[in-house]
Amino acid sequence: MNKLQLIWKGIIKENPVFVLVLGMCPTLGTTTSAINGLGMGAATMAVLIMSNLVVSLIKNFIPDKVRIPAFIVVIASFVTMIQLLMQAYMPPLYEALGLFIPLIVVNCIILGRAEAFASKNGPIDSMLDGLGIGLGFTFALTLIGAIREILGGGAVFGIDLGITNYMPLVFVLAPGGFIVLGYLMALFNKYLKK
Amino acid sequence: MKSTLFNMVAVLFTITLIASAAVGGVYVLTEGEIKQQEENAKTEALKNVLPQFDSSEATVVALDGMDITVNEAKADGTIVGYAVETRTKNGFGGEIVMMVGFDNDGNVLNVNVLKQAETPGLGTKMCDEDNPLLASAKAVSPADAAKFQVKKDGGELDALTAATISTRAYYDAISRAYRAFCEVSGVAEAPEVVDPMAEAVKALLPEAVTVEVVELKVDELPVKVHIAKNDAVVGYVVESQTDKGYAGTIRLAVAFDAEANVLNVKVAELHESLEEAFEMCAEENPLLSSVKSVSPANTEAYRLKSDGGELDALSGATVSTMAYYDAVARAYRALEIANEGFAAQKGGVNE
Repeated sequence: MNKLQLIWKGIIKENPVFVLVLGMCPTLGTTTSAINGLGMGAATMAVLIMSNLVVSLIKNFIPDKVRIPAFIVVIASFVTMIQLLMQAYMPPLYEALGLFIPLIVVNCIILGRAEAFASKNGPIDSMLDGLGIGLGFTFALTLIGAIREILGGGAVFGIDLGITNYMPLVFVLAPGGFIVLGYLMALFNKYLKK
Repeated sequence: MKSTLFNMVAVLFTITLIASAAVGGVYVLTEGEIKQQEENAKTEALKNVLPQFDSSEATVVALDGMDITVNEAKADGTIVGYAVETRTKNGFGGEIVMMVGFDNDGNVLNVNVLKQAETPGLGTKMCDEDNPLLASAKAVSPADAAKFQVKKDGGELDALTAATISTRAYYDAISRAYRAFCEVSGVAEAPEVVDPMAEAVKALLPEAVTVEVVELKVDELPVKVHIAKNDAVVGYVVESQTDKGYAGTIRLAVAFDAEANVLNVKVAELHESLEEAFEMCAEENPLLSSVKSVSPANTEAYRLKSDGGELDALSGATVSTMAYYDAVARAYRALEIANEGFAAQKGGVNE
């Protein structure tokens, strides 16, 4: 498998949200707007790439029985670092994502990739896998966020489209998240997965 | 690597050591910047709600169990206004923190919502630059407590459509800010805070020569029994509460006649998040008529209809309903306990 395919696979064929259906909690929770989706996706991607890299580097030194706690420590440290960095340099985004940043630790995509890919492959491939899956996650979250923002608030990336008052608010609320996610999942699987 | 005890301990120790060192390193790197950001956010919030100023001094006032920070802003040594960092616990999504700017006479200059978790698109409109809540708060002085209420509640303030609870919380925070402003600036007398419980008790208590008050605890929660007496007991009003509400404590004043039948109930404190739950505050509502007709003493019947009893529920607010009945039952228990106490006391005197 060449390197580009490795990335592409994460975005389309093994898209974490639409195909693997992992990490639904942040997916539904943070996608009230396109920018929140993008921010959450990017933060998750950063953690994913770094944790995949480190896990693939240390995989040979970790006794099998304690590999999960070891992975979690690696992941949690990166999440904490990302959280501190965001708080320092991107306070508005940090405010908007709030509780979901520390919750990246328990995002099953990250532990899933560490366990399924990084612990069996080399550092370069693991990073590319993290990049691909991360991009797929970011793409999905941004898309859901954009659609919800347009349908619910009449804006996209905070740019008012001038149709705010005609839009059904429900799309910004939790039920709208489920509806948009469900339809996107169906469309994605019908047209893009093949 | 083999999973021997030594290996496992050594590896986990090493990993955690390196990880904590890395996290610590990033913390040290970002610490200053984060402090700076927080500082900036505060000054920015002050600038947003106040006219030009060059120095500010913060005083913390404790009101209703919350710390309210009053910033006195000065330009060239004269006071140009006050920015009050106020809060309320009545928001739909928990605590709301706001910065409210007052001029020297206590008029609202501007409001900046610092922290909220209201429903996006509904309650969050309170954060917009131009919103009906801000316009109302500027137009109506918080000094007049009667007018400074939502129109629905008999005041003159506008509300956000479909976000009544967020609206009430917003104004609640501003009233609190005004009280803190009064306390610090000394410009005006703070408007009297109406204690809804005291009001309710006053309204419910029958005419009597003496009123005795007994304070006791029922199931860990403090309850107060007011006993109205001429020669004999005329009636009781019990200040009861429950912690079983959907969103915290509910406090009720329950009036009983001398035979311990429920005459009336007034809700003094309610934080429920569902609009449906607020029906229990109405003069006539299914919960009130239920407790009037079914005595809490009748444990068979004093249950929700869905549990085989005879009590009605507010549709869509079962938890709040249960809490209401719990508080009334607690009031009844308190009455029983108080009466036993009296019986014992009387016995003592007679001997």
